[in-house]
Amino acid sequence: MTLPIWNAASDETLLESAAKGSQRAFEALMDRYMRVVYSYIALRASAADAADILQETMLAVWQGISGFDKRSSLKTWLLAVARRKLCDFYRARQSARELSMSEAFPDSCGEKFDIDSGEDMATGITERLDAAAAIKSLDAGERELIYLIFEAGLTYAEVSEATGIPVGTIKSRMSALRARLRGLLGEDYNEL
Amino acid sequence: MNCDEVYELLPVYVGGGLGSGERGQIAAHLAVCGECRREAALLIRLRLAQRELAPILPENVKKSAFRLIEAQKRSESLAALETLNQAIGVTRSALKLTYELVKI
Repeated sequence: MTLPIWNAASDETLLESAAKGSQRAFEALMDRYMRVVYSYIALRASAADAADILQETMLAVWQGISGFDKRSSLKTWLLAVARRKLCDFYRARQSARELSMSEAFPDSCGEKFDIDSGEDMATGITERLDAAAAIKSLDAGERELIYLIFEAGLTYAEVSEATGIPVGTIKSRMSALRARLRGLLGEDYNEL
Repeated sequence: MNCDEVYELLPVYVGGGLGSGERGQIAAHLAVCGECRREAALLIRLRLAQRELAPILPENVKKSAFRLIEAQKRSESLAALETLNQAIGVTRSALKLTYELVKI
């Protein structure tokens, strides 16, 4: 259990204590970021696999936290570790053909998303569900990109650090993605 | 900031990733530009939809991850103890040897 004293501490303080081996500080720190890391992993993996990959990620973070050089934000570093673990997982499953760390987002980790396909779109579609349907239609790499920017709150430079993809490529993908989403939302978008 | 610059940064603005300086500049631009406001509204809708689709972290998964760290830490401590034990053993043997030599 995390002590209240840790809950009130800054990331910086927790990071320092965790780096010195305090498991409680580590837990308090990860408590703040684990949700975003898990959601990121679960975009690319089944719930069972995501749980395993999260464990691997947390273990790697625990083992590497004393060497974290703060050149990137903690969140960016955590997401980069998670991405490496995801890619290790796919490599181990011999899905490496879909996985190229230096390549384009759409090919980077491969698998199509199949979360909640279809049924909730049947009736009474609201604006948000239309937007959700548009997002669901994106491929894995495109969803990864909008997750990192919209949900994880990363900048283009941080997305680049987390994924190893050049900033210019990320910007142009984002621009193309927005044009596609506009097309997918069709009249709905024009009514805004 | 002009429309092109705002257009490029809008997703990061909506995601909350910008610092206060750029955030203020974009907010000021949005206050006077209907076209960019429209684009921002689209991105906000997409962000809300994205948030609803984001997989939720189950509590048991979180606990398992922490338990694994605990187990790892315990095994590291045991390994460190083992090393210490070995070092003590070596020291003891050396001391014993020294004692024997002194006796001779």
